[in-house]
Amino acid sequence: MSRSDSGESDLPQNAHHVGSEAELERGESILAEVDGIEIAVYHTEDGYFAISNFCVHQGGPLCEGPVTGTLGQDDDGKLCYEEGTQVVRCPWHGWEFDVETGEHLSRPEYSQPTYDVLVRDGEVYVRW
Amino acid sequence: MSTQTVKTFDDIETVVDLDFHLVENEEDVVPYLEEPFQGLVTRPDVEAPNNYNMTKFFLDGVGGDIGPDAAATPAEIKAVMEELGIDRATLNPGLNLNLVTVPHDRYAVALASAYNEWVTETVLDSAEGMYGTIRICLRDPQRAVAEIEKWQDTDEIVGVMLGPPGFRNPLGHPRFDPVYEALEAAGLPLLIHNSVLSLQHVFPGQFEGINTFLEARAVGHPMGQMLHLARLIVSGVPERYPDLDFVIQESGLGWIPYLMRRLDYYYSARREDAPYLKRPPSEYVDQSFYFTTQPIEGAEDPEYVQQIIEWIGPDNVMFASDYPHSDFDNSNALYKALRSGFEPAQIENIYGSTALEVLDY
Repeated sequence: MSRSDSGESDLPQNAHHVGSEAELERGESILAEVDGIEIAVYHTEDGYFAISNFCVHQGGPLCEGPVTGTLGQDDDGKLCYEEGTQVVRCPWHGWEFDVETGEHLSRPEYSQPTYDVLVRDGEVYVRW
Repeated sequence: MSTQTVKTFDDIETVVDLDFHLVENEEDVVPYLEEPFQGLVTRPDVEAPNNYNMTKFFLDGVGGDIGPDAAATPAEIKAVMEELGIDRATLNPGLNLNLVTVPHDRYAVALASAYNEWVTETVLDSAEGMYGTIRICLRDPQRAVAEIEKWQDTDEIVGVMLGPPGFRNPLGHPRFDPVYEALEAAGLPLLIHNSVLSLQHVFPGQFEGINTFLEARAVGHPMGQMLHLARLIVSGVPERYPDLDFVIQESGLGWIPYLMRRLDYYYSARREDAPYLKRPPSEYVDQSFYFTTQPIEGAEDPEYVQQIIEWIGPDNVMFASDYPHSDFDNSNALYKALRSGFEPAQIENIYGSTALEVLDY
């Protein structure tokens, strides 16, 4: 989930620092390790997102894959390029996951864990 | 051979990968090309040789970038083997797999020979577990025989690889009998490996109806293998060369018990179409054919995978990764589908012991 809760003063206990905003410019991703769990953190047009780095399929490193739109169809059944759906594409086998929900685009029974992201005073945190 | 100690993938004694791909390009093998071709392709007016005409698919270059990092050098190959837990890799060609797309018959034959020189001199190293196959080009069966005889005693060479043969060189034709004879005498199996990037050449008619990479992979691989397997058996090759083994690659598993029963069904009514056979086709499959597991369809359903392998025969199935292609199987993916249904010894066989018997490691 994209979050920027600058109104709160104290960080939640489960917030783990993963980098600074300067390290994570729009379009970039970083790999964070929190309590031994690898988490891919993305800064997209729609904000910050965090998703488990270990692909549920065969363990590919999601953070090395691009975040892009995807081909779909509109309400009239015409093909369209969905810029709004931000998709993480596993670099090993090409499995597509919605970066916000973690759901696989064609096999909803597969999903990646996602994590909330906090940005506070120019620093990026993942809640876990 | 094994033990009751297989509790995890790491407990498997010897993991043999039947299909680990190199990423060579045409220029790599130029120094090993015979004349007149080396002179021709290095002439000043020829830019980098570019003689493979491989099929392009929609979104090529996007989907084409999917897949783990390729391993080009022996050091990189060794690193991937260690990461995946592979003890012995069977290194197979990348580009050269698509030899069928090279238009010039003599040059295609020369490329096969040059690949064999290149791979044995610069890549393979049995001390490091890096074994490999040689390539043969069926456009010249006599040269294919010569290649087999040239390399059959090389430590690192464990089998002979045939790219997609297609309709131009249908397997089972009597003109290839000397090749089968040489393979049997050498004690080397013939690995048959299709390539969707050759589909346009191998099955030009069918390619007209295949729009996407998805269809090419899902349908093209097993479709080709069904034709090769049926042709080999119906033409009596396993009857004439009972000690020659075939290894069918990269087409998954579910189609195999289906085809075995289907061939038997029609053999019952059309025996005269296969007069060379003395037994039902499925018995020749059991006798002479081995199948590599990748890409393992239905891995999320272990009961399916286990049932299919039981129907094929667990000792006719061998693990392959297909690293680094975008439908490769991580080495433990198959294990997860097997562990609840197979004895440790059977798992050891599928992951390596059978390969050590069938191929010449």
